[in-house]
This record gives sequence, structure tokens and C-alpha cells, in this order.
Amino acid sequence: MTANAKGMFVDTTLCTGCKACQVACKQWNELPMEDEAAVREHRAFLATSYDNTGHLSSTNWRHVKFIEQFSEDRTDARWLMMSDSCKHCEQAGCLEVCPTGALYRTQFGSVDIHQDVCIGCRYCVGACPFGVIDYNGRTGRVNKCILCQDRMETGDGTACAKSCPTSSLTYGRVEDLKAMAAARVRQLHAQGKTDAYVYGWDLGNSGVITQGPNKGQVVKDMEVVGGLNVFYLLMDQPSVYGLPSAPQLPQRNMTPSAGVALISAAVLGVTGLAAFRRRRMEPAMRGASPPQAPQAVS
Amino acid sequence: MPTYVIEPHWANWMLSLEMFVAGLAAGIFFFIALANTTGRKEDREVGAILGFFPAPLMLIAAILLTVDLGEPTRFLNLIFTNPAAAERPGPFFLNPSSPMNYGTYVILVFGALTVIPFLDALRHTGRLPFGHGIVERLAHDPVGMFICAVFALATGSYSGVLLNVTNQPVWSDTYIQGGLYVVFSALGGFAAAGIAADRMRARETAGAVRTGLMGITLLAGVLVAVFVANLVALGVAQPLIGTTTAFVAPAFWIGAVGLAILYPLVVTTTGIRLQLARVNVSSLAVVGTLALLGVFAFRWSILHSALAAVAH
Amino acid sequence: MANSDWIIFMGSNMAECHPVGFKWPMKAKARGATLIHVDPRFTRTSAMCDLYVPIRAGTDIVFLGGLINYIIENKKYFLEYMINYTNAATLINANFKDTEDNDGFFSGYNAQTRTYDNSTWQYQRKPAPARKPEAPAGPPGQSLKGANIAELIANRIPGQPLEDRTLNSPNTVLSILTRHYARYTPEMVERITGTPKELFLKVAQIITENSGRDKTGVFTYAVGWTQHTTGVQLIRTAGLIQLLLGNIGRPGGGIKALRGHAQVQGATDISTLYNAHPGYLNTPSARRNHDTLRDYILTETEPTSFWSNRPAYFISQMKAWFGDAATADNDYGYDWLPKITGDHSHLPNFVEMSEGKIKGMILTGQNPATSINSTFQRGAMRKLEWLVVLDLYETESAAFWKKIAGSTPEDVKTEVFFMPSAHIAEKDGSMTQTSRMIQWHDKAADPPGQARSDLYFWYALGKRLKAKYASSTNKRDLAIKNMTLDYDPTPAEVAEWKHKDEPSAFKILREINGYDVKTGNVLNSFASLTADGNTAAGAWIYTGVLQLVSGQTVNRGRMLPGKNDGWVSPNWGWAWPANRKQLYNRASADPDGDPWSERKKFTYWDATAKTWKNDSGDGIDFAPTKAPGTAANPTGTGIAFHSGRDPFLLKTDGKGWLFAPAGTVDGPLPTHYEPWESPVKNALYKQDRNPIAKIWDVKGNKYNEFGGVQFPHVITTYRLTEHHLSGAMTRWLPWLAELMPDLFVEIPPELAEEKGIKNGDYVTVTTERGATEARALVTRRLRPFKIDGKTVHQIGMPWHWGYMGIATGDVTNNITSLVADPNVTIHEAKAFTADIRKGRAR
Ligand SMILES: Nc1nc2c(c(=O)[nH]1)N[C@H]1C(S)=C(S)[C@@H](COP(=O)(O)OP(=O)(O)OC[C@H]3O[C@@H](n4cnc5c(=O)[nH]c(N)nc54)[C@H](O)[C@@H]3O)O[C@H]1N2
Ligand SMILES: Nc1nc2c(c(=O)[nH]1)N[C@H]1C(S)=C(S)[C@@H](COP(=O)(O)OP(=O)(O)OC[C@H]3O[C@@H](n4cnc5c(=O)[nH]c(N)nc54)[C@H](O)[C@@H]3O)O[C@H]1N2
Ligand code: SF4
Ligand code: SF4
Ligand code: SF4
Ligand code: SF4
Ligand code: SF4
Ligand SMILES: [Mo]
Repeated sequence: MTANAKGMFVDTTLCTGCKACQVACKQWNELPMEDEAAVREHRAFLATSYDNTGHLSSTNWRHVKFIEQFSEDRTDARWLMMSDSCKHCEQAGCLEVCPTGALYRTQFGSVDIHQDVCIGCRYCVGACPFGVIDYNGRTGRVNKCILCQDRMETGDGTACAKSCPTSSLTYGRVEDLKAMAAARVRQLHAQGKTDAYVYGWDLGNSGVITQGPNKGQVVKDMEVVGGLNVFYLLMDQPSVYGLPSAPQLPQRNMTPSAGVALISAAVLGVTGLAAFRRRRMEPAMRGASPPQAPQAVS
Repeated sequence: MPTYVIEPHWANWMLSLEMFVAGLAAGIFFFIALANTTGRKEDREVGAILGFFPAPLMLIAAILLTVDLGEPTRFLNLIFTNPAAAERPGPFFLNPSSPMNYGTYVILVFGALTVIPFLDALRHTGRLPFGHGIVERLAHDPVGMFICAVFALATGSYSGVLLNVTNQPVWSDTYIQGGLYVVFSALGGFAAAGIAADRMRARETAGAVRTGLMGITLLAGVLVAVFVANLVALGVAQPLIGTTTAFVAPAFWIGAVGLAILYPLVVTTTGIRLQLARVNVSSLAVVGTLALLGVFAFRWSILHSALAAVAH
Repeated sequence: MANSDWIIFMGSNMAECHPVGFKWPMKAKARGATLIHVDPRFTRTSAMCDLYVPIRAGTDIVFLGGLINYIIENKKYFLEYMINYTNAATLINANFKDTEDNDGFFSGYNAQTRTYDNSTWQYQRKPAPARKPEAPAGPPGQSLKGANIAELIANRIPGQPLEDRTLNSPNTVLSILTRHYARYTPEMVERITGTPKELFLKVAQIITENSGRDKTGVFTYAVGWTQHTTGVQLIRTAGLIQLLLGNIGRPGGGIKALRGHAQVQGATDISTLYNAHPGYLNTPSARRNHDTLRDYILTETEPTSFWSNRPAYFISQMKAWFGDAATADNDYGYDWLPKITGDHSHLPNFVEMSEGKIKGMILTGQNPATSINSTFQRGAMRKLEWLVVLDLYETESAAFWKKIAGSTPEDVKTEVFFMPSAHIAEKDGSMTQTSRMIQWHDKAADPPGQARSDLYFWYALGKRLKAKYASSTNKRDLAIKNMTLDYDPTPAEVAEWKHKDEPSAFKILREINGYDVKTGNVLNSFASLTADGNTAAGAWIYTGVLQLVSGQTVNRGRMLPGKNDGWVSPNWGWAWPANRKQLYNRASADPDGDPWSERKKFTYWDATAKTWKNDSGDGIDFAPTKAPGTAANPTGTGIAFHSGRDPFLLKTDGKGWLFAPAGTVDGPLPTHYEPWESPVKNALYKQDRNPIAKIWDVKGNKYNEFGGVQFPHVITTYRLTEHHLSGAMTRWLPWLAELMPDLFVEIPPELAEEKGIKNGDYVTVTTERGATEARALVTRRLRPFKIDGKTVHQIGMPWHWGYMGIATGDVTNNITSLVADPNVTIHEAKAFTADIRKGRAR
């Protein structure tokens, strides 16, 4: 990990779902509406709790998720919220596949995009295990949260964290944030909220879910893809928040895939050679006489 | 439900077409290399005529890619390190963990190599004003053609490896798409050759094509079986076996499995002759055409399977 | 709030409507406080709370009354606080009759006029001090000439209230309270509110166990409480609980009224209310004895509370308004002031407009075309001859005449003028927030195009009017003729900006703050205001926001974020009065002046220094050197009438009022009435609804049948974080428009199933007033209620949409009605009835 890496700790227990972060991101980064026509034509209402933007995209670098967990009689009732963005992975799938160097690791340990270099090949889009990075049809390049690179350079921290009224988002040194997260998990456990655990780093906590459909299941701090510089405190299984429970680098398939291709190619070569040796004649052509007229097929 | 699946524009039809034409160019070149080095005279003639195709197909692929991505000058960033990406050393860009980077170089070399059969085709049809000797030698040199075949097969497998090295449902759930793609690429090449042989009434070559098709479809069948079994075992085969996914499953089963594998396999192994109306539907021209359709369906359905995975 | 041990959000959705301030409750939670949300819906606030308590809209008085009953029954009150600081022991007129004994009416009800006479609600008192003879009033226009105002007021001091500190007399306030709430049992609470009994008891336990010497808690409300025909009494119920538990005037205690529009506090202080002058001085009224200045002062001044200073505040205000023209010889211009003749608030104004009685309207920063019974309001606007709209956008109100608004443009005769307005960031000024804190903001940019500040509009208009009346001698023109209007900016103020004739907001603040008429120096405290014309101050409560410090005028509204400023942060803005952040903070010490506990130490008496102290830096809301042992002076004016143990300066007896002999027009005690429209009858007594609620029986404002079956569902309306009010400031903004693009109605799945409605469907909600179409948001966050054995569905709609802007939608207020609380004329948009069906309205 880059010494002094900067990142964010997302404490979902403090998120009120106000979306200030989402708007602050758009304002600072001058991002347009995702689909104005859809709003004007009344196609934008999603009827999924209070979420009408649905996902991260090239124009929504931050997205607040709303998860309603209510038992039929409402005795078990919980409304989880989580503000999501690029995780600035220690091992970043996007960065690993980028064929141009457009994606790069910054001096702050985050993953930024050189817009001048990106060719819009979208390979990174498929490579990110979290579905973060997205193709921008307006520019022909990809976009995602860049951890406010320009603000970090001036020492200002991220716009979204700055705007978060409840400190659900905290910007800082990843090492400090980890200590803060560990303390917070311990505090919550002490209050009986044993659901709390960290997604991104293994800080050694484990607990049991107390509410919702996964009640009783064990949860443990988890380090994923080498650690996330933007990491989360969750209260339920990652899948509940739409996060992969075991994200992986795309490169896990590279050698085996190339290997299978190589073997297949070898078999093809042999097959080809054999074909030119021992031919299977066309039945119609077996006779000496030339074929009769109609093969009018094209 | 995974929320981390890419958006539709990624897997649009253009990409399927791009992959199809490039794969076809590779397959045809593979056939030419075989015909030119180990074939008989008739094979070489068919090979020479097929030589007209790879270069224009690659050109089409390049055009499609340009239309798809826009700003062709930006492609240079794939090869030369853009000054803005100062983190990377050296004038030539290579990200060792990116299949696309290798692929770029492979395709570049392959694209250049397709000029050889093209010139050879011109030569063969008497349209090449100069350099007959050298072109003929290049096009029939065993070592040269072996290298060409390697690049052709690498190109054929490239997009499969590419899809494998992602984090998308179906695409990256197995790691045998590199194999599948190269086999389907060769399948396309042999299918095209079959059409050519049939049209040229080259019965010897047709025989070789039939044998080749038999082997290749057999191999493809095995790989597809492993592929599907693997997905089923992982519980993620829904987009390919489910009915909820509109076109993907039909395209895969009817197109990729039916037209591209089973039909050629049956026709070539049993040698049966089928007459439909007045058309001999077991002729290589028909089998080849249907197989090409199937190859396209294969690319299309695999590409869209990731999307289909979220659709249900 | 960060210091509270429990917080009940009730009638407020604080996390959504006050998201920035919500960080303080979150701090309290981190420190171990218990957070409770009592609301008909499970909201983003509920999501953050330890306990969510469902309640049927419009029944809060029963829930809170139940808490009072629990506190009294289990003797959980903070006895020492209650007996010393509230009127619990005070004896009430023996003829007082309670609703419990009177079928839902208090004594004094007049069915003809639908009003109460409160004479039976009064204290029993000792005889008043002997009266001295008074000089007769001066001639008209000089009514105060030669009078000694202080003597006149002293001559009106009543006798001291009688008490029974044993609390045994049936006429003590506590006895009356005990009887009044005896029927508000947990069972009754469940029966009326639909709140499960166990949940109610849990709340009762939490708040009683966490109040007292060492702990405090807070109620937090906003318009979920106010917007009812019983709104004022509802809030009083919480006040009663806090007085019983000893939670007023102490850190972490109180009742937090979360204000609305960013400047709504300032708008009531410097007022946009028809019935109050700036600084909460009643507007002269033709219906009261306000004929002359002398009458006004003697009618309005309470001789035994801090309000005994009213003459100084009122006359200083006249001086600020009329400058040199206001003199002792003309009663400071009192006679030039117009008098009100009735309720001129928004709703009755629009009723008059609909009757063609109002010819023109200048609409500044309001969007009535989408407000309460909006069809009615748009109809009323069509009767106007002219309309001026000052706004940032072409709002629904500016476009009310268009087809899109349901009008036929050819038939609308109204001439509409649209004046583009500068946005808040495009002008200087002050804002006063929820905590009475005045904060100054500097202009950041020039407004675009022709947009100008509202100040400029009104100033320019005022100047033109003055020019027109300059030579008039007509008495009714004198107010305008004599009005001071000299706010031209200094060159430095406008140096950077495009418009050089923007009036100086600072000069206006200076006039509001007040100054010495002779020296022109700003005044540092309202204590320097006099009733002799030597001081001028637009609003006494703001006196001190500007301070003269070593010859320099300092604007305390500018934030001086002092390091190590403590949690009270006295230098962060300036809170009126006199930068006191915690009102009545004398109550944070025990009767002897010692802190109730070390943990809750705040204002206390320093016996050696003989002065009250506050280590956190807050202002002392008490006479600074009045010792706790000081006895009440039966002939003392103002707070001298109170003892050193009476913290509530603004009350005539210095006590917190559990029982209100005056001030509320609909009764001295809060009592439950059903909302004006309700599917169920009042389970407590025959009288279903507030007998004196304000109603308007006019065309287009038909009420749904009470308890009827045609409109069986309870509906409430509310806000979302993503939008602001009518949406004029948010639906035009792309980033916010996409966050909440369409109007929706939240319904429980049980009801959806009954009606065949699927999530996301178009549905139509109807009342007698009309229909509103919305998308269905089917969610278990809403739930069916069991009321008196019968299932009642509660549904809810935000109300931010209209037909203009980027994100458009139907107007929720098409279905609301004009019906209001009798005290303050706030509408009842929080609880009424409606029907819902699948499909579109139009
Ligand atoms: N984002 C945002 N913030 C705002 C505003 C805005 O429009 N948008 N508006 C500002 C203004 S002007 C105001 S006045 C404030 C208002 O602030 P709030 O009063 O918090 O706002 P509302 O959403 O109208 O109503 C609050 C809650 O009252 C509940 N409620 C309804 N009826 C009852 C009832 O009978 N009893 C109880 N206990 N609860 C009930 C509703 O379900 C709702 O959750 O917000 C201010 N802040
Ligand atoms: N059903 C229902 N109805 C309600 C409520 C409810 O809860 N339910 N709540 C009620 C409450 S609490 C309120 S406060 C009212 C609010 O109702 P309104 O005050 O009518 O609504 P707003 O949208 O706040 O209108 C303010 C207007 O001022 C404009 N504006 C903003 N800044 C400036 C400025 O500097 N100068 C000028 N000239 N204009 C400016 C805005 O663009 C906007 O058009 O609605 C009430 N109506
Ligand atoms: S979350 Fe995705 S886009 Fe962000 S750094 Fe990781 S792999 Fe890249
Ligand atoms: S789209 Fe741009 S950033 Fe993504 S992999 Fe391609 S070149 Fe790199
Ligand atoms: S860090 Fe910056 S770019 Fe990333 S989500 Fe926050 S505001 Fe947007
Ligand atoms: S600003 Fe903070 S509280 Fe609001 S949605 Fe974002 S993370 Fe949650
Ligand atoms: S809109 Fe303004 S007043 Fe309201 S919460 Fe946000 S910052 Fe505070
Ligand atoms: Mo409001």
C-alpha cells in the first residue's frame, strides 16, 4: 500500500440517505444529469425505495443505496442506506486491464483516469469487480469517482465527505481511517449491534447479524482485492448492499484462459493437418460425373 | 442480485460483428496457411482465392472499431505511451496484466500479415503487376505460414481470453472461452472454405474441409459441453439455459450449438445427403453458410449473456 | 441536542428536513442517548433511531397526554423542579370546568361565536395593591402627553397568585391536570393512536428514567405537530411533559422547534406576520382597545413580566420607523399606523381574494398556486386585476394563468408582472436560524441578467411612493410620508458589484438593532432602550447584534469561530435575546442556585461574587445579580414581581405554565380532538373536533364527511430531503430533479393489494376538493392501524411537485382544504381523509 494512502471510511450506520454527497460530487466535478429526457418524460421514477438513480455511472460517481428490510408484521424493521463509489482498490481490476495507461495509481494511492489517454475501449468497465467504472457516451471515455484528485492536490479532501452532515463519509489517511473503523466496530458491538463489520480490510472483528432476513448469520471483517482505500462498515451481508462477497481480479483467468486457448490451437493445428491428409469426400462428388445443376445457394 | 454488471452499450451488436469479422479473418487465414503448406494444388487454388478475404475483413473490423470508439488517433495510445500517462516507462506501451495490450500487438501483426494472402490472391488471378516471385514464396513458405497461423489463432482466441479476463457473469465464470473462441474462429474459417470449395467445385478441397469441420466441430462440442457444464455447476448458467432471457438462449442453442456444431458434425460424419425443395441442404455451401451464421450467433449470445444474467 | 440523554422526534422528520442539524442528534446517539421517532411513517429519521413508534396522524395529544398520565400516576415528575418552577401548585378559579366534565368543552364556551371567554380559567389571587389616582389621557394624538408610563403600569399590578404547595386542593393546577389526563391510559392510547401499548410504555419508561437531576431529554418537532387544527395545544402538551420532568432551561433539555424556510425564524422576528410588529409586539387592532398609544400600551403591557418593558420597545420602534417625525407631541406617529380588523393571514386573505375583495398582490418568495387547496388558491388568483411575482423562476404561481395550470388564458384578466429576483448568494443580508441565531452572509456574485434583490424592489417602490405622497397632508398618507427610508449604500459596499444602487442591508440591520438618537451610536443591549424617544430600534430582540466596541461597530452576526469556544460557541453568530442560547437557563440551577447535578451544570449562582455565572459562556437569561433567595415583591413592576426562584421571565408569575390562563384561545389545557376530517369518532367524548377550529365554508372548499366511508383513509403530506417545499428551488435544478423525479404516494402493501395497485403504478388520490395523480410507492414503511378494533390505512404524499420546472408532477395540495388552528391559523395538511384508486386522474 502506498505509504500515506488517502481514502474514505464509509460508516453506513451513520448514513441518513440525504444524498448530499451525491450532489456535492456532481457539483464539484461538474457532472450533468444522467438523463434529462427521462425525468421530463416521467420515465425516471424507479419505485425502488428512495433511489431514483439506480446505479453508479459515468455521470453518477456516487450513488446512495436504500435497502428496506421489513418483516411482514414490521416487528423486524430496518432501512439500510449506503453511499457507494469507487473503492480505489489496492489491486484494481480496472487499472490492471487498462491497455493505455489511462487508469493510473496516484501519489495518494487512489486510482485516477487520464481522460486524454483513455480510448474508450471499455475494458475496465467489465473488469471492475464492483461495477463502478462506466462508459460515457458524451465523451467516448470512461468515468468514475477519482477521489477528487484535484482537491487532494490542494489538501482539501473529497467533496462528498466534506458535504456529509453526519460524518458517514470520512476522508483521511487510510491507516487512520482503519483505526477509526476498528474503534467504531468495537463501539457498536459494545452497544449490542454485533452486525457491524468492515468490508475492505480485515481488522479482526466478527459478529452476528441481529436483524433482517440474514439474522443469526456470522459476519467477519473482510479484506477484499488486497484492501479497499474506500471501505465500508456494513450491518449485513455484502450482497444485501449489492457488493460482491468475494470480489476477484479479472487476471485470475488470464493464464488458464490462455492455456486452454493454446491447447485448443494445438488441437486445431493437428486437426487441420489431418484434414488435408485423410479427406472425407463429398458424397455428391464421389462419382466421376460433374454435379448436376442446381446448387444455387449463396 | 449482482448490481455490478456492465451497461448494455458495452455489449452492443457492433462488438459482436467486430469479433465475428476479425475471428473469421483469422479462421480463413488459418485455413490458407494449412492449404498453402500441406495442401494439394486444388487446395492452394482455393486458398489463393480465400486470400482475398482476411485483409478486407480486418479492415472492416478496424472501421467498426473506429466507429464504435471514435477518434482513431487515440488508438495510438495502445501502442505508444501517451505523455500524459507519465507513470509508465518507455515509448512503447505494454501493460503486462492486460490481455488487450497483448491482443493489440497480435492483431496489429496479424493485420499486417493478411497482406500476404491478399497479394497472393491478386497474383493468382493475374492482377498483381509486380513481385510475383516473392509473394508466391512468402505465401507458401512453411515456416512463414506457420508463424502466420500462430498469429491467426492468437487473434482468433484473443477476444475469448479478453472476455475471460473480466468480472462479468458468464464471461469470467469459466476460463475456457479463449479455447472456445479460437475453435469457433477456425470453424468459421473452414465454413468459409467449404463455401469456396463448393462454389469452385474443388472436390478434393471439399473433402479436406469436411474432415476438418468434423474435427473442429467435435472439439467445439466438447468445449461447449465443458463450458455449459461448468456454468451449471457454478449455478450461473441461467442466461444460457433459461427462457427468461429472450434471445440469448435461443441464439446460443439454435445458432452456436445447432447450426455451427451439430449440423456440420452430423452432415460431415454421416455423409447423408439432404434435399430440401431443390436445394441440397447438406452441400458444403449450405452447411458453411449456416455454420457462419452459427458462429455469429455464438459471439452474439456470449456477449449478451452477461447482460442476460442481470435481466432475470 | 448533543447533550440530551433521550430525543423524541415527533411531528418532525429531522433527518430528512433538517439533515445538516441532524448531526447533533447523531452525536447524542454516539454518546449513548436513546433516539425515538414517533411518526405515522417509517422515515429516514426512523432508520437512524433506536426506537420507531408508529402513530395515526392527528392523535399526538393522546400519546403525549398518556405520557402525562403515566408521569403523574407513577409520580415520575421532578417534584422539586415542578413545584418551584411551574404553576403546578397555583390555585385556579373554582368555577373552572374541564372538558372531561363538560362533553369536550372547557368552561366559557360560546356556541354562537364559536369562541371561549377565559375568565373562569384565571388564577385565584390575593387582593391587588391599592390603586393610585391617574391623570386623564392627553388629547387625541397626544394621549401619552405628560403621563408617567411606569406609574401607569405599576398601577395595574394584580394581586399575587394563590398557591397550595401541599398540592392537596382540588383547585391546584396539578389536581386539575391529574383529573384531565386520568383517562389517557396506555389502553386508551393504543385505542385512539394505534400505537401498540407496549411501545408506548417503553417510551414512557425511557423518558422518565432518563430525566431528573442528572439527565435531560428533548422533544423535537416541526410541522408534523403544527399543521393540525389542534397544533398549538399539541405542542403545549410536550411543554407540559417537559415542565413535569424538569427538562426546560437545562442543557440537553427543552422542546426544539425546527423551523422551516431557512429564514422563517427571521421572518417571524422581523415579521411577515400580519398580527405582529417586529419583535413580537402586537399589531394595533381595531378590535381591541388600541385607539390611542396610551390605550395600546396599557392594553398590551403585562405589568408583572419582562414584557413590562414593552413601552420602551414599542416607542423605540416608532422612532426607528419615523425618525425625527416621531415625537412625544404626536404619540410618536402611532396614529399613522394602520390597524388590523381581523385575521389577515394567508388563508382568509385568499378567501377574500376569491370573493373579489382583493385587487392586486405582490408575491415575494411564495408559491401559493401549489399550496393548501391549490385549486382554490389558483382560482382566487384569477380574480386579481394585477399580480407582481418576485421569484427566481417562473413558478406555478407566475404561470397560474396558463393552460398548463388548468386555466383558460383568454379568460384570465389578471395582468402579471414577473420580476426576476436575486438569489440569496447574490445579496448581502442576515438569516436567523432555528436557534434564534442571526448569521450574516455576504453577497458572493452579481445576479444574472435583470435580476435584482428584493430589497432593491421594495426600496425603490418605497421611494416612489414617498415621492408621490411628499406633499400630501392626508392623515392616511402620513405613515408613508414620514417613514425613514435612507439605506443608500456606501460606495465601498457596492464597489465590486454591477448595480451601484442596491440598498445597504447593513444599514437596515443597524436600524433594526437600534441606536442612540442623539449620538447615532449603535446600542449594545435592549436594556438601554427607553420609552422617551431617545432611542430607536426596529426590533428590540435584535438589539446587540451590532455592538459598539471601542468606538467600532462590530457585526456579531458575522461568525467568529473562536477556537476553544466551548460547546455553546458564543462567538458563532449571535442569538437573540442578548446572545442567550439556552432560554430560561436559571432553571438549570436548583431553587438555591446550585447546579442540579455536576453533569448538567450550566447557569448557577456564585454566592461569593453575588452573581449568576455560566462557565460555558452562554448569556444569563435572568436578572444577573438577583439572588436565589430574593423574595417576590407584591408591588414590584416587571420581574421584580417574581422571586429569585422564578426562572420564566416572560410569564406574569415567572413560572412555567402547565395550565395556561391566557395565551391560547382554545383552552387552558391540551385535550384531544380528532382532525377536522377523520374516519373515526372521538373516543373520549361527544365533541369530535376542535369546537373553535377555523373553517371556511366556501365554494371549492368542501370538507369530507366526518367519519364517512367515501374517504376512508387517513392521509398526511410531507417533505423529502431532495426537494424544497413547492419545489421551486429544487425541481428546476438538474441534480435534484433527477433524485426525486416524480410525485408519489406511499402506501402499505396491505392496502395496495386491496386496491390492486402495484408498485410504480399510476394512482389517483381524491377528496371533496379534487384529485391528485401520483405514482405508487408500495412499502412496508407504512402500515395499517387498528383503531378501536377497526383497520385504518394511513397513506402519505410528499407535496413538492407542480407543472413548471424540469421535474414536473401533479400538485398534492389539490386535495387539501382550508381549515386551521384557531390560535395561529395554520392549516391542517398533516391529517385529513382521502380515497385512492388505481389509474390516472386525467
Ligand atoms: N429537504 C427539505 N427540508 C426542509 C423543507 C423542505 O421542503 N425540504 N421544508 C422546510 C420547512 S418550510 C419546514 S416547515 C420544515 C418541516 O419539517 P418537518 O415537519 O420535519 O417536515 P414534514 O415532512 O412536513 O413532516 C414531518 C413528519 O411529520 C409526520 N407526521 C404527519 N402527521 C403527523 C402527526 O399527526 N403526528 C406525528 N407525530 N407526525 C406526523 C410526517 O409523516 C413527516 O414524517 O422543513 C424544512 N426543511
Ligand atoms: N400539503 C402541504 N402543504 C404545505 C405544507 C405541508 O407540509 N403540506 N407545508 C407548508 C409550509 S410549512 C410552508 S413553509 C409552505 C411553503 O410554501 P411556499 O412558501 O409557497 O413555497 P416555496 O416553494 O418555499 O416558495 C418560495 C418561493 O420563493 C422563491 N425564492 C427563493 N429565494 C428567493 C429570494 O431571495 N427572493 C424571492 N423573491 N424569491 C425567492 C422560490 O423560488 C419559491 O418560488 O407550504 C405549506 N404548504
Ligand atoms: S472499484 Fe472498480 S473502478 Fe474502482 S479502483 Fe476498484 S476496480 Fe477500479
Ligand atoms: S476505457 Fe479507457 S480507462 Fe478503460 S480500459 Fe479502456 S483506455 Fe483504459
Ligand atoms: S471522492 Fe470526489 S469524485 Fe469521488 S465520489 Fe466523492 S466527490 Fe465524487
Ligand atoms: S451525505 Fe452522508 S449521510 Fe448523506 S447520503 Fe451521503 S453518506 Fe449518507
Ligand atoms: S438546506 Fe440549508 S438550512 Fe436546510 S439543512 Fe441544508 S444547509 Fe441547513
Ligand atoms: Mo414551513
